[in-house]
Amino acid sequence: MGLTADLNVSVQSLLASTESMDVTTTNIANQNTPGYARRTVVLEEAAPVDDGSSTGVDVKAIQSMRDNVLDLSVNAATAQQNLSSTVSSSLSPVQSLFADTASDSIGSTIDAFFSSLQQLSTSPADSSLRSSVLTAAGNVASAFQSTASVITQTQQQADQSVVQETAQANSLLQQIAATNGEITTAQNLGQSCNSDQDQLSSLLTQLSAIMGYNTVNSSDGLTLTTSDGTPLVVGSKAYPLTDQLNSSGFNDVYAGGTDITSTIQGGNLGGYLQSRDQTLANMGTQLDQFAFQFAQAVNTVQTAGSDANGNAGVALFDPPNTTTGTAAGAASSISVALTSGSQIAAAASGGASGDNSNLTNMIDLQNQSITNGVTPDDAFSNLTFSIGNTISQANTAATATGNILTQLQNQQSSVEGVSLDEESSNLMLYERSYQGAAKVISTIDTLMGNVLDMGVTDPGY
Amino acid sequence: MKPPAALANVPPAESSELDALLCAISEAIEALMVWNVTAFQAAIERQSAICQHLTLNPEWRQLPGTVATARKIQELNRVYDRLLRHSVHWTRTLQSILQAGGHTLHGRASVHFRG
Repeated sequence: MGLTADLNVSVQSLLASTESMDVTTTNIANQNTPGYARRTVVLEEAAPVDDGSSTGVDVKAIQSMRDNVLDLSVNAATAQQNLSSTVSSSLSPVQSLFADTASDSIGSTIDAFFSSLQQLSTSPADSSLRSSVLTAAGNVASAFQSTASVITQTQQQADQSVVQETAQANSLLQQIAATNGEITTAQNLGQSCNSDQDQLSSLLTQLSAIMGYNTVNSSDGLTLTTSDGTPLVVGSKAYPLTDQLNSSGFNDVYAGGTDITSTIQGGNLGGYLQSRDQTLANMGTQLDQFAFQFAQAVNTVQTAGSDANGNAGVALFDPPNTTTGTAAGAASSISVALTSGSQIAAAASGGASGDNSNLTNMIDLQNQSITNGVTPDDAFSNLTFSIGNTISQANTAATATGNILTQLQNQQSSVEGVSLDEESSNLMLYERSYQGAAKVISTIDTLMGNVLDMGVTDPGY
Repeated sequence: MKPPAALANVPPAESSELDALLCAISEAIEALMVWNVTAFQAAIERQSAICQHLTLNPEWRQLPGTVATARKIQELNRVYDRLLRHSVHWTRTLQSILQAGGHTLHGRASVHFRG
């Protein structure tokens, strides 16, 4: 190999080395950058010169150590984990309402109501005990109202979160579309797009925390759709999500004019929608039925008897403000209709003032299947179990998917992540070698310099 | 001075030894380039042994073609020098980044360049 060829090899080597160093520097500097995949330098032997001798190596490509299948798995697990944890956290304000130990819970106030009836049955003419029954009935109504109010407020909070999450999703969809376009352009020009790919990966992970989605790769770049195929991003075009109020006063989510509310699965958005439209909505319906049927059962017995003044009993609870035959809105509107304890129909119809036989019928309601086919106590217990079970399942799912996510992230880190220990160890070895190398370079320079300074003519040069 | 074990049976210096030095420098450059510290250390050891031998056997200076080869070695050696300086600077930059990130390093060698 001649001197020129030698120098070519050296210059090529210097350039390749510089590129390798830059890549390692980038790897270390981006160790904690979300979406960053470790890069490696792919070297190839440079084309030989005319005489066949090597001209060293060229940097063929800077390759990201990205595993697309693993990335998709991580994003899917992220969406599932965020859904579960959001369901759990968004329902927690409601859970305290169903604590058995709370004195102002529906269960406790109904128990207190029947206790007050028991006490009144021992002395049906006692006006203070009659007043106590009215107070207890008022507490039952208040408990239903406050519980319904908290459920509605929790739904409204979830609804506000839906709007916020939609706005965040829109921002990400726009960024994904823009990055997608840049990647396609770079690829068409044969340019490296590793940074754009890292950014896209980070954006997709952020989006999966908000909502689940499907991805399809094509020559135009990435296409994102909802689970039913409604497009979210196609190439460099984003289809922004919009919010529209529905008949319940809550916001539905639309993409390109299509209502995708029910197709959004996963992520915070999916979690808030599930809590708002399923768990809390079902709970509200059950509570309305509970309030409606309880009031109707008490009223039926009350109107069958006579009050302290010998008048026919009138409804104890205001007829819940419902359309005939439905219980909608019952829990939030139930109230006590009687204004005086004397109106409590303790006696059977036409009975004497000391008669408590109708009161006994009312007390018996406690053990009758008057609400949703079960006793009032059981109806409340069922609601308690339902909410507790939903939160428990969400917590269990959050833990399980969290574990899966951690495993996937570890796997992702081992494939795509930067090992500081490995890089650090290499650095230490190099530092030790540099001393010897610098000394040898100096020696070689002196040795060769001495020869050249001698001015010896070189017949072969 | 007794020559190193690797050169114990090597005859007095000859022109091929300069070629070997040239190769050892090329190998060191390539090792630096591909981040292969083992090959880099081996190349340094070879260079060191050859230099020691050349120092102890100065007759190589009189061999035909020595000046041309010496010039070639000197040129390549300067490329090697540049690459090494670059590597040292880069390594220290990386170490600073690592330390800024809270990663513990166990020491730092001192490298001195002539000139």
